[in-house]
Amino acid sequence: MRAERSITRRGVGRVSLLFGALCVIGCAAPARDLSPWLPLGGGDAAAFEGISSVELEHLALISTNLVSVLVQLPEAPPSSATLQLSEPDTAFGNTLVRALEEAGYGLQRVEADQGARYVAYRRSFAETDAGPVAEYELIVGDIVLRREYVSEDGRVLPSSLLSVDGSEAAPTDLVLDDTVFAEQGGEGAAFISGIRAADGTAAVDEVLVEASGPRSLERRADRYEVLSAASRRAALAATEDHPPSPLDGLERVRRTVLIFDDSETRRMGAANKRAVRLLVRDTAAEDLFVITACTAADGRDEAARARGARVIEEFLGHGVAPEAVRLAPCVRASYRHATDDSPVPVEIVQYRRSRGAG
Amino acid sequence: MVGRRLALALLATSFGGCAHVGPGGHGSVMGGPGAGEAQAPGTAESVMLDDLARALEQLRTPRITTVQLSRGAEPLAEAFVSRLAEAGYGVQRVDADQGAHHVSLERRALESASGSPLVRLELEVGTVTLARSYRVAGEAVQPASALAVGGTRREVGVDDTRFRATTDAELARVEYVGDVDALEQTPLISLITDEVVHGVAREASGAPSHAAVNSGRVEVTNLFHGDSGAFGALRETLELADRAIIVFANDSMRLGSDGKRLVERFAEGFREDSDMIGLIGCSNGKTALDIGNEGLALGRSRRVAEALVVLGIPPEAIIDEGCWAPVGAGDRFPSRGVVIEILRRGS
Repeated sequence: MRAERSITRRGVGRVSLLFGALCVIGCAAPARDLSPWLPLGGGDAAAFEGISSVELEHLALISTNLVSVLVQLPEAPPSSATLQLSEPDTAFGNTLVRALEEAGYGLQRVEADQGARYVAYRRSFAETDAGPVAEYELIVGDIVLRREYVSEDGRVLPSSLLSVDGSEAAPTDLVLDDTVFAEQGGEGAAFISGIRAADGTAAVDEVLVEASGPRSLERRADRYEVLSAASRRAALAATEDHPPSPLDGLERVRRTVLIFDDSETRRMGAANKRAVRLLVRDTAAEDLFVITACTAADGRDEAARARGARVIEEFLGHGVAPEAVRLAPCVRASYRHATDDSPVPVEIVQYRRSRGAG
Repeated sequence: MVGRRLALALLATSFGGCAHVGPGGHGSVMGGPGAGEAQAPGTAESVMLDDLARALEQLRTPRITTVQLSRGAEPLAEAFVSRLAEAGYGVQRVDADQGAHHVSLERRALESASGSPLVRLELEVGTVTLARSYRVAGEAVQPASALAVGGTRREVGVDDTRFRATTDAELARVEYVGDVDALEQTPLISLITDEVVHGVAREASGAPSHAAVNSGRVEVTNLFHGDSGAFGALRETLELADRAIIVFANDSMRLGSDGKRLVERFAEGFREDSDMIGLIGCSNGKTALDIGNEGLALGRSRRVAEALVVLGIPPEAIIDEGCWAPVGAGDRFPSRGVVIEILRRGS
């Protein structure tokens, strides 16, 4: 009995040592932080198992690249489009959902493939005479975005034009920010950049990779910034009114002035939001809202432009058509000092088709 | 034998203990804790969030509604939105306060009349507000108030059976509330029609003013002058479904019990999907008050508008105008009263 207990104790001692060793070996490595790639609303971390952080960064880059074009399509503006999707269980699916979230899309989980804007995606590999190529595809309802990429020397680069199908947007209207790939470095290498529409029209360019070598991850363009810049650019392109177009046949009906707390904020606040709701409530066919956010004396003010874009977003979020909202160019009426952070105004004037006007 | 089992158990523990999924964790899309989010709420908080979510589902249909959540929102709001995502709501992450259904959720610590601590959750989803107090003891939670519903008159069923059997059945009900102070903070929406410009001249000449500001901070025209009003385009899309006149005492803005009953009747008959409530506050004839006919007319319509908002009518569903003059308006408008109408969109 004593011998047995002794063996057991020895066994426990050995096991304790083994456990300790396992803990040292197995637990010494810090937990990998998956938060840069997982969807903000939850995702499948198991889909990232066995995939290096470098590969995940590549997938995130590709997802951002595809979504940065999607946000510019008039059929899927992030401010008013809700996309349907199933729970992703692949690494690419997870990084893609993250990019859609970052772009500001409303995402709705569905059990099957319900919805007019159901999100599907595919990654396929091919062995070609030019070497192995991976093709990535993003499908949102009738829209299909497709592009090939190659991985080499620890970086991922586009190897084809980005093709867009199912959209009325012309390739020349879309901005493809491929410089994010160049940040990976590559000693003067170049890759093809551009967009091809379904009818064959294309806008083609070439991007040179920085000869100075790769930028550190911290110094690379923030994916969220890339997506919001693309989204804002598209929204402003559709609504910015420069030079001002004629308002023939329209008469001014109402005017209001929204006050933002400071010159940098994009937060409208409850009172301003209510004013927009009241204006939207009483909107007739062909009404036009002209928004003047910039009163800089030199005619340029990016913060004011962002406030104007924010007000436009609010109108679009209430279902107002993009063609019914215009962002007016700067009105040279202010002597505001650059350091002035006092509340700033945004004027909205509602125009209505004159009775009897054609 | 014991040692082998122990070793296996420890191995399992070791691997289990080492397994990790990073801060993002493993959860459903938009349904579980996501990247960089805080931990999921405890049982008591989950029960409270579920209580509010079930009420919201009756007010805003999940499959056709997308809610907005600001980046960097508190973990409680994140958890609530995850619960909404599970129910089928779309979720949009925004950098400020964009959207028609922007979510904000606050948790406040209160004290009951008997001195016991209470938790009050105050939820805003666009124009709808939900608030309720709870008594929390460890993981157990019970309602400590009725469910306060604002910005809507839709019927909400309260099912408190998920709480303990000792829950006060008297609290399983809805109280419709409204915040009339919010109306005051809206930026002024002014009219810029030619008639208003002419009205300024008329006012200077001693004739009744041509325009003034209503309870919703929207400038409206004086219907005494016979135009189609500030909401002409909106009214053209609506049909009259019900109409009554709330009579006020001379030079008074007191609604009185009869007036309150009439307002309640209109609130009961209001259909949120299709209706608006039109108000025309009137003061036609001599007045001894300093605010004059204009102040009296719009003060009366404001009084009725506030009563409607307090009953849960959304402020955006009220269009109040006025008719004022130092002389009678004949049969067109009452001398001292508010015309209240239900205006309905055609089917």
